[in-house]
Amino acid sequence: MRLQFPCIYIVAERIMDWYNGRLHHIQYKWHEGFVAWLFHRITGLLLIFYLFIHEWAITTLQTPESFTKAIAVLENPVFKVLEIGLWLVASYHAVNGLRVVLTNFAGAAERSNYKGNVWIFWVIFAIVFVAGAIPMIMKL
Amino acid sequence: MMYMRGFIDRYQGSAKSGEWNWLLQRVSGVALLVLLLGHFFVEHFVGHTGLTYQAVAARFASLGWKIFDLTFVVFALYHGINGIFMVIEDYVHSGWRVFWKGFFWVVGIVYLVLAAITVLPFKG
Repeated sequence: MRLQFPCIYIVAERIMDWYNGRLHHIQYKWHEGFVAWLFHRITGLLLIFYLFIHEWAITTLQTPESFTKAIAVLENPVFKVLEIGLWLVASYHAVNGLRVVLTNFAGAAERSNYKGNVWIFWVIFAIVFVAGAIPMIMKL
Repeated sequence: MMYMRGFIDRYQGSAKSGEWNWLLQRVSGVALLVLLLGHFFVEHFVGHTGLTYQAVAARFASLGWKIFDLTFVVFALYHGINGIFMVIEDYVHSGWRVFWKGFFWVVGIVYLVLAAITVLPFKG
């Protein structure tokens, strides 16, 4: 095969084809519900892997010595900030999960109200997150 | 769209096999909403005099909190592993699907046993 020159244009064209979805026949529309679903999946995976770590930590901290030693490490501000991140992830998954239940059982997925419901959910999520995060930030 | 036909037509599970898991994912999710809020407020705000071994061990040793913690772990593990199954079913379409689902079955059972042998015999 004869090398086509300049190759960079061909590579760029291939990348643009991929971006426009012509190769994969998939084009993300970034619909409100898709964004909510994507975050729900990411936060869900983060939470189950957090549960594995959390359970392992509690199992291995059964004596006063090991517990006190671990708490001394966890008092570090880095872990306090990570803890607020955990609340962000958990409260998102909880509030959006409730919205999913409402779309399934309470008619919250009609064409007329679906997108609006997602925006209402973002407001409720913000309120829940801030309400829980303020006392955590005060303790920093 | 013709490019996708073979991919979409391929057998990827049946509508019958997942309906109970789908429903129980909603039920366990709503249960976790209550359990998690209880867990969050108790661990962070209620009577929080300091994160000492004595304070945590006293709570961990009481029968009521053992029941709460085990219920929480059972719901959370079911909900989490079931969620991982849903992710696997979405993205893995080869024989590896059986492997990954089996793998997370084992992980789930190991963590359930780990929770039981940690929570139940604890005396302080």
